[in-house]
Amino acid sequence: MKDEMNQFRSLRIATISTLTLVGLGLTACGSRNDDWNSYFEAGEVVGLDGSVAVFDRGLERILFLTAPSSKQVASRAFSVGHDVQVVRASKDRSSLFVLSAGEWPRTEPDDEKPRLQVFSGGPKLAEPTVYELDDPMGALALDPEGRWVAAFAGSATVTNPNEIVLLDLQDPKAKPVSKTIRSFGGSPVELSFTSELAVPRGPARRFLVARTDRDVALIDLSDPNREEITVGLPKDEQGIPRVPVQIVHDDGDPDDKSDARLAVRLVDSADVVLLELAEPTAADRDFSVGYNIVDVGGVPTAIDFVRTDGGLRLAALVPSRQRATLVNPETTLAEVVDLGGNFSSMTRITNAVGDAPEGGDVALLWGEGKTFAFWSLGSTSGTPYRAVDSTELDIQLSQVLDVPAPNEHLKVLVGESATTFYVLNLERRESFPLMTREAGYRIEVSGDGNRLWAYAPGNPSFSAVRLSDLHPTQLDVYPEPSVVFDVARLDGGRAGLAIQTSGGLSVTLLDANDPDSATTRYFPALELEEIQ
Amino acid sequence: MRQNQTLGLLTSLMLLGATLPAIAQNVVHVTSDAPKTTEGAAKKAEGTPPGAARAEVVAEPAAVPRAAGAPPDGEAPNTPPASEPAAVEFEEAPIGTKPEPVAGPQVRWLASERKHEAARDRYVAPGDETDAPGVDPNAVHFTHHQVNLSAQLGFQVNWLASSTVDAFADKDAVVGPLARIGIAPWATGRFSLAFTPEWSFASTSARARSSATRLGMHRLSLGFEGRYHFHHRYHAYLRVSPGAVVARASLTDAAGAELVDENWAFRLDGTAGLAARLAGNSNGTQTGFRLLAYVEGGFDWTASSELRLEASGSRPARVSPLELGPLDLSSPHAGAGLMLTY
Repeated sequence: MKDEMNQFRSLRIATISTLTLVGLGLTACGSRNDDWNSYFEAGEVVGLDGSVAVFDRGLERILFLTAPSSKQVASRAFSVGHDVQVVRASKDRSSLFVLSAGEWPRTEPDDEKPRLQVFSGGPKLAEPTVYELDDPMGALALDPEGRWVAAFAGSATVTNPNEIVLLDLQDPKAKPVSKTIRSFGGSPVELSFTSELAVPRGPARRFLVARTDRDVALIDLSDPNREEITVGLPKDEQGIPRVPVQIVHDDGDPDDKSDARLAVRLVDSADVVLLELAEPTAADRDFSVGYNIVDVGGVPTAIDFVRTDGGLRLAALVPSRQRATLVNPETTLAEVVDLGGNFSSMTRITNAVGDAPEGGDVALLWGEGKTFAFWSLGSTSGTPYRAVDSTELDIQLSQVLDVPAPNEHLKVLVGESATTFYVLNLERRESFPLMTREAGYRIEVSGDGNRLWAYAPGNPSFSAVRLSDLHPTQLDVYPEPSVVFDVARLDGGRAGLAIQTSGGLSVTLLDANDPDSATTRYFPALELEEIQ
Repeated sequence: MRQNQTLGLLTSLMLLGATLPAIAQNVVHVTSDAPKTTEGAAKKAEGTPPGAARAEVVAEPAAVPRAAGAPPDGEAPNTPPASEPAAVEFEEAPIGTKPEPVAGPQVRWLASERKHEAARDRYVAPGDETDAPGVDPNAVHFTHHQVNLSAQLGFQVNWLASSTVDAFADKDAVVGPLARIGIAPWATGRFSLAFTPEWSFASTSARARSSATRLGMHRLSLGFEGRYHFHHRYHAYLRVSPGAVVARASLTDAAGAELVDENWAFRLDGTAGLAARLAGNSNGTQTGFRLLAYVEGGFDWTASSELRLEASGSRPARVSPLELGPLDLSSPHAGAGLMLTY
């Protein structure tokens, strides 16, 4: 009996030890890095010159995908700040800008401040340049010439909506310039950068134009600390200032330092405001702003400065009256051109067409209809009816895409929910239809201008179209790509990256110069990159 | 990672530490004077001066059940036939007993009777009775406690803290079954040596962000185990086990591509443990099945290898290998189980 008790005691000890062991093993053990538990959620996916940037929202980082060779995809992760507000590429795709609000509230000196990170677009990746800000900002304006960045639309507890923070990308060590523009009740809605404009005194300079919901402010970028010039806009019948919606600029005659101009289009108004950088009225100023209001005969949907055989004009498209108005900025006299269609958008294509008139621009016009037109502005005077050459398509145009050199004479005309898109040859003034099997295809033009990719998110079939002869190559990959980008490879070639972002991040790599479904390579689970 | 490994080691030590006092309670019955330490003996020694208790216990052999066929008290056990030479034979002295004077040249003592006789001069703790009545199992040879064949079944917890393993496991602890056989062919004094081929398996699965992952490990090793039998019921052991591990890691990404890596790696394990007999004859001189429980802990060093997952299916086509870095399966571990010896 006692022996049994002793054995029972041993059994009890063994049982307790075992249970303790299991308990400790399963509960007191460590757990893994939380990053492994973070489900992948793709934010912005941005195509850059030599890489694709994927915002990994869960881990607050940017994954850069590059193609070192035709058989290799590399991924590298860079942490970004907390609470990302903006992820945008520069116009030339050479840089990526990430604006973040930082930790909020900040209670420790080490807590992250709001910041702007500027990444190289690859294919050689480098650590980003970081600009710290004092307060979180919610919007970015990028200089198309790559010199400046303006952050605005603050989002702190107490915000100054008229504050603009200017960062000089050429001098990363320079302190950001914080500037509050004078307010007449509005706050900046959009910021845009002008090209260099001549002024009566001093060297030519660039301006940052702040468009509010009621006025326009000009900030002299040669001295951002100098007081800006705010221009009030005409009011409507109720005395409410008109809302500006588009601002264009032109330097005028290169030999004339006092003919640089800006024009402001207003919402629901036939008036266009012309601003001239004229002789200064004060000794401490390099220029003054002259002000003119021109009636273009109807509500314009687009304005631009153009050169005609009669000189510089402000062109305003008035689709409601199927016409354009050309305004002489010096005399404000207007000339009407009947367009024969309700064209609402235009872009200058002078350098791309083969038979551009001497001394005049050529503009491409399109609108809500199925017609596009070439508008030759070199023969407007006297024979305006001959100036427009229109062509009808079977789609309703919604977008005109530029093609980089060496095929800058091509434009891609894309319709909304259409099964056809067109490649327009500006030199020969011919358009070539390309059909898709179903609607909803997106068009991505390659950075080297040699091809375009037509794909539908979630569809395994897509095509690469060689622009030299418009030869399409059908491609089928699995898994179905969410987006397709064409980037420069490190070895000098080009890579097509069919990126799948739903659930996880994976890439199917193609040789962009010779795309073939049979030679693709699939790179799985890239969202796991650099997790420790 | 280092903290987790330290935690694992500490856990192992705590377990051993928690077990030791209970074991010591039994051990002290043997190594100290019985009246001072055992409840049963203390009752018997009540009102008796120290030292008399021993005489009392010895004087009451009837308190110990006698086995059937045993000679009655006072009778010379196994009196040799008159024809046999009246020589005195000494066999190996039982461990822990002093040589005693021989009763006379006409009496021949066989080893087993000598052990029994010596045991009568010692206190036999309750529950320590052997099948032979009145024999202290600690006073007889531990022969079959030490030299035996064994089969073990148990489980093992490994604390895998490698960052690469994190892709395959939510927690560091990975539990799996273990099977071990033992061949203990040699013993000297309280020590014995055993060879212990061993197999254990552990498997864990998790989600690494959007991918489903799984890691399975088969460990094979040959252990060299030194045992110290400090009590007929318990023994402690140290084991060194070189061996190999074959690890199979798999990952299925969000698109359904399955990737697998399988590789072998050398491993060397060091383990310390305690085993306690739960059932079976306490007399080490007798053969038979005995059931023991064991608790152990140690560290398993495994050579690191690069984890390179390659496609196992045909879709998607031409899947590039996924490299997740060095797979380090080294870890502290602890385990428990049952051992059947014969």
